[in-house]
Amino acid sequence: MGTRLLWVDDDCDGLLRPLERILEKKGHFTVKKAATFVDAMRLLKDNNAAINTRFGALLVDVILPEGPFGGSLASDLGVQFAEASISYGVSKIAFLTVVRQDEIIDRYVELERSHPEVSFSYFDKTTLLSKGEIEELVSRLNGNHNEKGASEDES
Amino acid sequence: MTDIEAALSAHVKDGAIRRHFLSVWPVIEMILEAFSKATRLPIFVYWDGVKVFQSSAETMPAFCSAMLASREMALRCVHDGGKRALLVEPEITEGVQLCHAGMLNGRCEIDVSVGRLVVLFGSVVSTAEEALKRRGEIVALAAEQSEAMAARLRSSDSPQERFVEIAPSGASLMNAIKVIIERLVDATVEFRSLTINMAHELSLIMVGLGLLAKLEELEPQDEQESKRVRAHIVAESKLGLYVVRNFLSHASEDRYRQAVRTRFSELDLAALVLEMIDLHQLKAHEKGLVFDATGLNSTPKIKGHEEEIRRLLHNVLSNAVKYSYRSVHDAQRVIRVKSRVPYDPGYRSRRLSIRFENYGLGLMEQETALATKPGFRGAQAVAEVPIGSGIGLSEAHKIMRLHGGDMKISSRALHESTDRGATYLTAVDLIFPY
Repeated sequence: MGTRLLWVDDDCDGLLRPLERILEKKGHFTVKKAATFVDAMRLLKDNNAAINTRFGALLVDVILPEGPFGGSLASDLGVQFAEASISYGVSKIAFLTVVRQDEIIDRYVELERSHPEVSFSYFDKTTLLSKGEIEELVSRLNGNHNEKGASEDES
Repeated sequence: MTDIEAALSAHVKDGAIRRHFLSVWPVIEMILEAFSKATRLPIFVYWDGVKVFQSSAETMPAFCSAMLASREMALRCVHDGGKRALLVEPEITEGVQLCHAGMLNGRCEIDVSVGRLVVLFGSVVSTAEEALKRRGEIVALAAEQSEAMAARLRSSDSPQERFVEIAPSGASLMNAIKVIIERLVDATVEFRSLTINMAHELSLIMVGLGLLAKLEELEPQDEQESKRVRAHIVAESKLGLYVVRNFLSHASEDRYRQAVRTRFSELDLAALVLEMIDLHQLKAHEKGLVFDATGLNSTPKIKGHEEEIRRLLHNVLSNAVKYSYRSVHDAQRVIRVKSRVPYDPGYRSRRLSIRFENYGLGLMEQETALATKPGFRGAQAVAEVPIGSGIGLSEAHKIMRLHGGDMKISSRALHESTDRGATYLTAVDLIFPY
């Protein structure tokens, strides 16, 4: 059974939906999706009871709606969620966003510094279709630290 | 961090927009400083009650200069300005307030796209009874700390400086400055913000299409599923092209007019509405929304530009889908589309309306009038929906005018939730002559 992956993005049921199947197929992940911070927190808590249901990896957008029916869209709610997920056993975290990394670099560096046991990576949605990028994303979510462009299974 | 940087950080989420605004800010400061020196009217500018600009001391009346020389008194002045900016201190006449030291100050608001600046200008020494009382209180307060300070204030409260009102020339010049700054920001920050939003919207569509194609390559579908995927790709491409058309139209009306070459023909409006609803079905379905478009059958034909009517309907439907939400997970939200024929019997010409109603995020009362201003997005939308350029309704309004029609927008809070804000019933009436 593959790593259990939590994917949090307000568009995970919209335009980005095909990514779910691609992640399942390429990374052998068991993917659960949440479109908001509140839903994602609920999934984290509900799946925390047993080791085999806990999430090992997180794919998250930086900007997230707080809840499905209102709530502020904080500029870094995704970063806050990423940090919260660590105490639930998530050890591989990838940000997938259109927010440029330099916008949140201080928070990102702080996260890396505070949680050296966790693997963090950052992916830009606008380059997701570039050669090797999805493979790199899958690799990072699986806990591998290959450089971008390193040979990957294209199947 | 400067005052303006702190204010921007607190109110503007997008770092790129903050940087764009900061690149324009020195120009705004230069304009305000020049205005202050030319009129000898001091200026304080606030953003949400926090001071972000103060003109140089040389333009201050002697009493104000004496106050600002004391740290304690200067803090009181800044705090009082914050209260006037937020209208905690009411206006005594339109656009004029009395400060804590009994000076008359003009007040105007400048829409800078990412927020509103409140400009307090003037500090004309008032001789009104309330003003004299306030100045007396300030002098008494100063005396508690330093008799020398109180003496300086008394000696600077010169009878020669006393006026009864802010000169009309100063107020009208301030109004001109306000327009210049608003236009400057529109052409720079606003336009960049809109471009970023459009790029964001289009990039998401393109990434989505690319992922669909990748998935198809990775996991060949059966014929029926492939057909569904192809239909999805066509629908998303069409939606993306409407985003582009809106942007082109907004960016250059002349260029756009040349491109679309207005051609009117007889149109079956109801059929076009159903066609555009069909285009939005997929997105609506993803959000658990359904359309109820019963009652369109008796809609008469109109004269119009077919592609522009499609773009108009796209803009209205796109908003209805984007800003609808479900209050509980299993609830089903309905977007109602209906016609009213005639719309207003007895009006000088025959008119019909197509009305779109949706439940969810809406516009507060004071925002409704701004809904057709290019780039405007309501506070709820900005807070909760990241993608949106704010030109959909302004473009829709433009298309309605092109057709000799009108557009009416209403947004009514149905129930207030203590922690989540209100749920609104928002209605857009497209009113066509027929």
